[in-house]
Amino acid sequence: MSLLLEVRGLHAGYGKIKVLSGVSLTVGEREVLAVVGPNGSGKSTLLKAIFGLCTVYSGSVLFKGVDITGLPPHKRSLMGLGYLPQVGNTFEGLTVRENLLLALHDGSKLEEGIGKVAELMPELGGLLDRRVRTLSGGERQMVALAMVLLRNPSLVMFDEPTAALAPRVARRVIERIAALRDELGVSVILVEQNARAALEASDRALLLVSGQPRFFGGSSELLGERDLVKTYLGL
Amino acid sequence: MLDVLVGALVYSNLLALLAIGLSLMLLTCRVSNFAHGDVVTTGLYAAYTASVLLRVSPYACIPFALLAGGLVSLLSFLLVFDPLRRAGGGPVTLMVASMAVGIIIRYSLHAYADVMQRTLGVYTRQFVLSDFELQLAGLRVPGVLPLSSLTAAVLLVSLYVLLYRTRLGVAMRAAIENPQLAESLGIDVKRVFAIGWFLSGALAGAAGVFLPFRVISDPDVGWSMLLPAFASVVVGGIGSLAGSVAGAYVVGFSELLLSYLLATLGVSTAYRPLISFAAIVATLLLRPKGLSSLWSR
Repeated sequence: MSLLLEVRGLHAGYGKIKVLSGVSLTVGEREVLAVVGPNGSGKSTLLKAIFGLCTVYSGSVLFKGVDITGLPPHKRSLMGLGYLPQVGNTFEGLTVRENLLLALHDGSKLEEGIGKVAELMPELGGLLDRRVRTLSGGERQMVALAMVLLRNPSLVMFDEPTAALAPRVARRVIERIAALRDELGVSVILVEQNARAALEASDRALLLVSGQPRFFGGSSELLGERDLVKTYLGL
Repeated sequence: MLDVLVGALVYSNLLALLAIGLSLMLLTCRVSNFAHGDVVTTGLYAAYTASVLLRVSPYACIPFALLAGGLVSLLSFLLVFDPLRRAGGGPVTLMVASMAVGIIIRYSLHAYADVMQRTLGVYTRQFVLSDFELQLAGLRVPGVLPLSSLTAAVLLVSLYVLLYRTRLGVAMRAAIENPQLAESLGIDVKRVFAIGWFLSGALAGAAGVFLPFRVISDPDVGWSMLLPAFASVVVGGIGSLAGSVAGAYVVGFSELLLSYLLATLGVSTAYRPLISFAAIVATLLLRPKGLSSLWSR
């Protein structure tokens, strides 16, 4: 299995506020990595650092073998790195169609892209000319996911996609995300509060505690580490 | 009275060209750009110079004004406002910087006016340009009326088409709403904003072409347009492009009609700026979202 993403000794944060210290991880092709840990342990910051949205003090991020540490986010995106933030993941003042148009690298393929979206998510077909502001929370999340998938990414990073959902729905969404690997052949990094569901659906896991990695390895192995799981994940 | 209405319409056309740019710059960089009036003057002198050199009417030189205004505005974005924005400069820092930029442009134009007067042998201070007249519906009106209206209409409609009918325009509105997400989708936000600044400056530059046909012009003349243009933005509703245009016509007409009224009562028209400022204060106190609250939530 070849490596898609490699993070080496990453120290990152926001300006003077240091959040992550010494995080390393790898993601292979068609692999689902779950990032779990208590609140405020730097899970979301890790995704932002990989995507280039916060300050990196030292360490490096390699994507498809290329050092992207100093690259602006839009270049990372063009390389096939997808990022779905928890909030602010759609343009609310624009219509669904305009949102999808922006997601495409090549605007002339809008109709083709809309066809693809309508196939994956039939619900969106009828909402194309609605402003996103007027949609329900679930519909907005769907628009956001459609935007990421339209870009044919090789790795998609989800930041707490289930934060606002009921537990039973949450588990389904997590399984749905993990299934993207098989349907579209992408790799996934999933930051989740819902640790058990995330660990069961993923191949590998990273446990972050106070910005430091406490475990990196197979997800089922982490579930077997009773002490870690009990102390930090409350399982 | 006809003169007053003609004056009000021309004045409002120019305010609209200025106000929409001010709004666009507020939206992209959160800067109240006090240098924008001097971009108008830049367009004025660019068209005036071209018309002297090419021996054609200044009206034929609008493209030069568009280009000069656009370039000055683009440079101010690239050299001053974008670096400050990236360094975390707040609205006050940016506003003070814009005053400095405005002064730099204005005094460069003062220097240029002297050079131009000496080398081209034309008046470049306290000058007016003579306009042609034409018959419209049985009335004699100055050429600046149809031409400024046409220019404003063409430029504003083009801007609307760009913003709402092209991918670049959708990207610009997206980058204004959520720059971080726009970046993540591969939109080069800096480039998109730079285009917005160029367009804002170009529209202001075009407005400058018409000024010497209406008022005594010198390198300070654009600066005097700035405050009523800000009033238009506030009256229209801060952050609304359509509102800025509507605000420009409200402010332009009320300023001219009310000062005409004052003049007939024997009060000096020197008090005219009072009207724009009263409009700013009244809007902010009574209806902070301005005219745009009439059509959006």
